[in-house]
Amino acid sequence: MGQKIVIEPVTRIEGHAKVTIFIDDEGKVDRAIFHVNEFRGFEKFCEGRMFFEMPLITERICGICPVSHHLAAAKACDEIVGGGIPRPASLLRELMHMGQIIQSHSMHVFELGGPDLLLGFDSDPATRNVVGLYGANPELTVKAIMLRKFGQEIISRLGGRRVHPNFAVPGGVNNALNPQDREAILAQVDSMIGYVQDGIGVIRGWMAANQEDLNKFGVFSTGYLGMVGEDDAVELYDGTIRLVDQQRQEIERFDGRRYLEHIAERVEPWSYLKFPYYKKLGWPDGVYRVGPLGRLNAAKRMATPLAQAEYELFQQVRGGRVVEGTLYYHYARLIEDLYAVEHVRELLEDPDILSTEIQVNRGVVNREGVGVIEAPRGTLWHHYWVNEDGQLERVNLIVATGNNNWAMSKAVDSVAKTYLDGNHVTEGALNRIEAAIRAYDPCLSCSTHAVGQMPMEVVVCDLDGNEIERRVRD
Amino acid sequence: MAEKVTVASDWLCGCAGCHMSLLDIDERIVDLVQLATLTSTPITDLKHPSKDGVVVGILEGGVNNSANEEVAKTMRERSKILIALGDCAVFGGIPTMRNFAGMDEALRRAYVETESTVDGQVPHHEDIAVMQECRPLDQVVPVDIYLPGCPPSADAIWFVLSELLAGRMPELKGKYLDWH
Amino acid sequence: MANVNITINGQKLQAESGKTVLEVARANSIDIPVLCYHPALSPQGSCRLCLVEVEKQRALQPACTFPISEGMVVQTESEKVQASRKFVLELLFSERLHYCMYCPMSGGEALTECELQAQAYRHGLTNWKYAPNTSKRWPVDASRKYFLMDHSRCILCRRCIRACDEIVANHTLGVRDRGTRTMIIADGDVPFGESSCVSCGTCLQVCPTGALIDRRSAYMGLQTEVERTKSTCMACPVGCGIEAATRSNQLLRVEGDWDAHNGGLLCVDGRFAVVEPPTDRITVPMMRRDGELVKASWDEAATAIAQRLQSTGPAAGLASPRLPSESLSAFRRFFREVLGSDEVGLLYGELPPVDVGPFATLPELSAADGILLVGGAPLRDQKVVGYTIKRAVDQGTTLIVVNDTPTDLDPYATKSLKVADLAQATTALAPSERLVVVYAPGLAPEVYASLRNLPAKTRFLPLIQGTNTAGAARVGLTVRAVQGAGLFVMAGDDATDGRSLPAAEFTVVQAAYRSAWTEAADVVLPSRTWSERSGHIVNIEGRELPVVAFLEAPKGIKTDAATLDLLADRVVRPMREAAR
Repeated sequence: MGQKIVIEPVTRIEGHAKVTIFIDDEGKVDRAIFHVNEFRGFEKFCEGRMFFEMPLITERICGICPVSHHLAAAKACDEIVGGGIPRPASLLRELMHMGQIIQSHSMHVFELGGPDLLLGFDSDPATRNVVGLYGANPELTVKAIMLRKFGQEIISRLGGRRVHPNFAVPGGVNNALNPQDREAILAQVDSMIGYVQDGIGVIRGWMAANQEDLNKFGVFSTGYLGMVGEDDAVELYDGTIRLVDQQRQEIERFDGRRYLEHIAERVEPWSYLKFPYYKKLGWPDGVYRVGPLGRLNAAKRMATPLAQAEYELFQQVRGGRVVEGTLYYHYARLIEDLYAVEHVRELLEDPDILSTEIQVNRGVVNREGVGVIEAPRGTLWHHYWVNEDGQLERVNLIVATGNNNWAMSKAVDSVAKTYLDGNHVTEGALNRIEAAIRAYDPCLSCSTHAVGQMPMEVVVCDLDGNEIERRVRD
Repeated sequence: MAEKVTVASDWLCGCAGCHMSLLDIDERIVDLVQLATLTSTPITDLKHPSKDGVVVGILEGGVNNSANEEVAKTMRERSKILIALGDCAVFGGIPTMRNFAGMDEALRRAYVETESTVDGQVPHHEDIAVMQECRPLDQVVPVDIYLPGCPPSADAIWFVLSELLAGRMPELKGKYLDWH
Repeated sequence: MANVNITINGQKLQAESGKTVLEVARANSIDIPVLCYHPALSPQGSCRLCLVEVEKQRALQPACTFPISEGMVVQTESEKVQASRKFVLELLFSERLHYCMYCPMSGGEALTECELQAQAYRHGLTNWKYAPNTSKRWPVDASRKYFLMDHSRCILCRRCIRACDEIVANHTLGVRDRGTRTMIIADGDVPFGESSCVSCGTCLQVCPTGALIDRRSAYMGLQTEVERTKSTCMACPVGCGIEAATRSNQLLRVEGDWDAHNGGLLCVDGRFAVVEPPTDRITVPMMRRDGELVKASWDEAATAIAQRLQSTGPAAGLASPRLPSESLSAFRRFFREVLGSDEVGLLYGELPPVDVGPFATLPELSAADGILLVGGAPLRDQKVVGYTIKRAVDQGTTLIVVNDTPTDLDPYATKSLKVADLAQATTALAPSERLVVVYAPGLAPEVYASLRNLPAKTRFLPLIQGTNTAGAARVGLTVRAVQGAGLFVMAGDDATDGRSLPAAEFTVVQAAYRSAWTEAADVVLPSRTWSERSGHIVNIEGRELPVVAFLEAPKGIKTDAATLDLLADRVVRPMREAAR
């Protein structure tokens, strides 16, 4: 008799997700589906607001990566006021962005995704979390906390607070960097680099000991999309979008502001999260992955030396071909973390970083603006249309994690089929399915421009909905 | 040795920013776990507050679908003291802007009309939640402590938790009372 | 005025009869919270936040309107009063949608600029007792160029309406409907940008919440994050007192100084237009080589200027009336003492005779019981004077306009007469106790003679054209035709406004922004702008007012004094060397 297993909610991710697993009569996984279960509606309720409010409104899409939205919104507003923002303002925004990358990536690897790897997929759910990690390895956990703190403090020094800062405005930023803040951040860069490298060491150790899992856990083909800068290095603030296929051949390179020519979104009735894909290849051939693994595959190098050295090791995983395994996201994430810390130093040593030329002050020049940025979780687009008074007429958002929707669903399906025996459902197997989602570090508040959460109970039902077995995680 | 105070938390229709602000207590989390046991939270793998109840329940986010309602009611039942964490839980927050924009209009805009959407349709399936009007937490369950802010500062959250762990009801004022 | 004895919170106090409980409390540092009350506006008593307990009164009374009387006993912090305040705030929050998270006025206790939020903090409100209706959409009116209105944040305190009526006397704002449907509207309920609004911004300055928001300064910094500098507006010779809010060397906002002669009132030119300076800033000296203006060093430029000004023969100089007296004086001295020339004048400006009688102040104009306006168009050229006249008329002042062409103050005048009938006007105003004559330049000498003959207690306000034309006159610079083979124009941050310069063989223009003048000049020198300069101007009241720099000029732009010193040195040096 066929069964349906429901995992609800998925924990140690941001936002609300649900997994439905259909088991066939032999107890094999027939298919598994990843649903996202919340919706808020920023694309509608922002209509009528002023364009210059958007950096403050849209950052409330997400509390982990508000800076991504804050900056993407500001970039869209820059276009509306006629562009040409002063170089110091770009540098300062990029500095805040690096702070965000550092805090988000560090938190994810150690506090959200990490417990699965470092304590084990099958370890006791009661302690399989950051507190348990602290018990097992207090030094590493404190380093993770300090890394997150370092990133958050960069944000708050610039924008007045850690979560939902007020810094980027149309045409620039509202505050110059003061020399004491610069000194304070610079003084910590070396130790932070050390912490990230320690983290990389731990993850590499885990990878060496878990090759079998790495090679069968959610391994599948997609395209890879990310922003690149000079010489096709991974670029997180401002660059060109590059899309490569599973052979790592470049199939498109475009100015992110012209995304409508290349990206479309598909809707499925069973999820509030849409599915972006590359138009020319259609659905589903045009699916691609974003975020750390997507960016590292889509680029050719890292722009800072230590990160580049790690990148070269990363390339060796598959001899220069694309790295497809879902769990490699954690490794790619730490390489980006390292780049971000190195880049903080580069930015702070730029001669323009203390300049007070931080804003061009103009009214509405263009009736439309697009802002593109690489959020920690992937490529993020904000597109606004305004009337002549600057009030929003229309808003379109394609949010980072959404680009990974197909991949997360595929990963869930793949991991379920690899590890779940319908005749003997174990907590560890179900956790692995969740871990597949976690590797993508989804930000589901962002991607549905909404949030929600639900408690979790695993209920095994027959296809008539009669309960056969109930496993409660409590 | 005093028994540790059990704490559970969850997030409803919010952005997770209040939980991030909680994590912004940074190293103080080490002190926190000496005095409190974090049971079910979105960042641990326990999904429900224990049926034996917890001392302190924390909810971030407003209520905007039936699933949120259930979580809110369960948390209220199983917590001695319930904290509404952040502007969304206390006031309803930014998601309530959807109420005046209109639910149907918002769904249509997101899933049908947006310029990048192809062959759109409004999602509708037995396995996904049905949306409702977004409202603050105390319209669904009684709340003991309101901690406003978008998000409340880590210091304010730490203050409230420290007071509770010391057996006192916190009085919010001065730099801890911040609606911004 | 009789002295009245009252008791507030057990404290025995004395105050003038006619004062309100709130006035007495404030004078004695007793803080009673208010929202609809503003010291520059007539009290209204509508928000009910200032309710206090007055012995023997049946109900709580609004302190802002309740007059004191002998033996009155007042409690401002009793339990009843505190409960009432909390209730008022809870009701205010239940109306409309007071979302603080993305409001530019919002902040923590020490930071907030929103008076409603400040009261909520003060009264320990952690949530709303009565949830508002979030299904109702409140409009945002963004039709005005410089500022906009978000009705969801309006608490209907009507400070804006009172400001529009009582301070600027424009009477644009009002309300429509009643109860929960009440809305602030402009004229007959048209978009603000299409109404009779003159964008003086007084309503913006008095609005307690984020309902009225200034576009340029939104999200650029809160009170504690910006620097505030008092200075004098340079847009016209009224010289209104201003407070400039700056951050990271950017001008964010200009506000009227409540304590200055303009009493907080500004006009669109001084409050808003200045925040959008022209682009094309000149930051380095430039010299013409092969027909093109190219960057040069100060040394090269100064030496070239000195050489050419001496070699081409007698030099002439023109200065902008937007310069402070110190700069104008230095300019004059440079020509007289260094170049030995008296061919100096102002680029433009008009100064009527200022010796017809004692100057009036703006407050005296406001308090006049009779106003005679001879010539001029103050609502266009000295707007704050125009608004003050309208305000006086609202309060019962008799206005007589004497002008050969219609003016926009005619509708407010008791009589409008031709210049030939000036005698009728002065006769009609003879009964005035406090007559103020506002008079323009360019009138016939007989007119000024008649004005001189008015009673000794009459006060006069000249409608000068050109910000510091009066100050220029005091240092010997007037508007006159000048001629010279070499021409040095000190334009400052002035606009050319289509004016042409006298022809010369060699022209030096010192200016802040590129223009037709700089493009035709032989040497261009950079200049500071009004916001980057300190000095004094003389305004229409005949008073010397301080201009205080609140921005730092881009590096390498010398002060006027330093520029002239450098030029002087380059002129004098060859003579010294020759003398050795």
